[in-house]
Amino acid sequence: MSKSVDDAVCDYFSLLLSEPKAELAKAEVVKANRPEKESVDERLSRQALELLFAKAKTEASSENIKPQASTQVSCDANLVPALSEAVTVSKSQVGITESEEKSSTALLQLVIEPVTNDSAEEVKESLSATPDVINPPKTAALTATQISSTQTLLDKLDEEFQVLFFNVAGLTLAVPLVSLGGIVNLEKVTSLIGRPDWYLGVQQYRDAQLNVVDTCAWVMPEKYDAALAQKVSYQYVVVLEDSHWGLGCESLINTINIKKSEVNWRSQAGKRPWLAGVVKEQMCGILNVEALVQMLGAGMGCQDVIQS
Amino acid sequence: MTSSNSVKVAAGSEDAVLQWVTFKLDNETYGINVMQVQEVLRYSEIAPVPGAPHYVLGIINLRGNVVTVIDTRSRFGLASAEVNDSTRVVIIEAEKQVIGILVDSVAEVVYLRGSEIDNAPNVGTEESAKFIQGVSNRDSELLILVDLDKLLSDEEWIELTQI
Repeated sequence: MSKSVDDAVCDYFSLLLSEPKAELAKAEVVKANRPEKESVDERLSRQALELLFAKAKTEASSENIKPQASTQVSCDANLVPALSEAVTVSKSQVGITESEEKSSTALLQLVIEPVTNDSAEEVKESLSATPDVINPPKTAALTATQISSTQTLLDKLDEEFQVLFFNVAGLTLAVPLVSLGGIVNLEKVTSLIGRPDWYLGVQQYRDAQLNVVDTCAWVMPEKYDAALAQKVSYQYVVVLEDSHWGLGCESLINTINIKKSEVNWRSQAGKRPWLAGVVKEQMCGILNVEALVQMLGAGMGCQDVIQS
Repeated sequence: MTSSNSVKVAAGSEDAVLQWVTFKLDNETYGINVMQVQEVLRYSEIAPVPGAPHYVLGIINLRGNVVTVIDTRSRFGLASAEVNDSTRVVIIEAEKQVIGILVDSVAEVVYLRGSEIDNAPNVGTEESAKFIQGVSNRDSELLILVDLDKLLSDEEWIELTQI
């Protein structure tokens, strides 16, 4: 099951990347038709993000952030049409009933379905036609047992918890706020010799060095060619827990409250232990930050093979 | 922040002040221990040596002595660049040998306390990662301190004597 979720997420991310312009155009239409209520949500979301910034600046603990923006989800404008379209296509092809639709199993099928249809296969083939692999897979320095499991993250989370959504090259990722160390503006990043290609450099942060990750290169090295690298413009660094690691991100979307049941948790770490699961509504990956930090610290790339 | 990142590289038990000659390579600032620097030369023609290792640019005549010049950019895994008016050859002494390193430009001599030097983030497993002795934040700019003795491996230092 975890493998299917892996593949579904990977392919979904690929779809997002392959059609950014079309999605943007659709997003504009959706945005124009969106009721006024959503602008209120966006304002609330902005307030929440401002709170996060304030937290990073004042070095306050994450507990100070109030979940005032969390009652409504205002998903990334780029994501809305793509998500609705994906779900519509899947529903018509699978023939899911309303009752089935409500169950988490059916929701999982909705996510998985596009992988098996012909159009998805075509997209997959077209994407794989340009195999600009930055780092060939190598055997990891860590074994699966050494890497923090999803269960560890689940134990840390309350039944309802806050997540921050952020965007990198059209890809949305979610990070639980309990795992968020802060958000800082990307400033002067110093490149260091002898570091992996996904290592953007170091930036001064709270009188120490913050290792900034080229998130796009790390998460999807197979898609990260020179053209994509030119397009990606990192604005912020999402600091992971209390580590000295941060993920470059282009834009912060919002923070919301979600329930554990709203996430398809991966029961097995599999080959992507950094991916804790998929947020069903937003259909985006939620990070297992502890595992991610362990992998980054070991110099491991996303595709490095983890021995069981 | 993890404790490893805040561990300071102390220069002895006292918080000793060391001088570092700084130079630029690919828009980043590097520092080398001033005690290992003999002189800084303007770029002059470097005579290639047939059959020399790939990291050797060639040799120069320094007041009657032949000095081997290392291609620092290549050694650090950086793309090569055109020589210009700022290009310098820094003559250094490391592992009891005198060699030259080609750099984009030489900036200044800075004073750093041991407590001002942080360990370099340990991530890479590549060869070039070991050259970095530490880093120091200075005037909102990160200075990368290079361990010249590790610029070449033991075998390569021996190889240099045979050029």
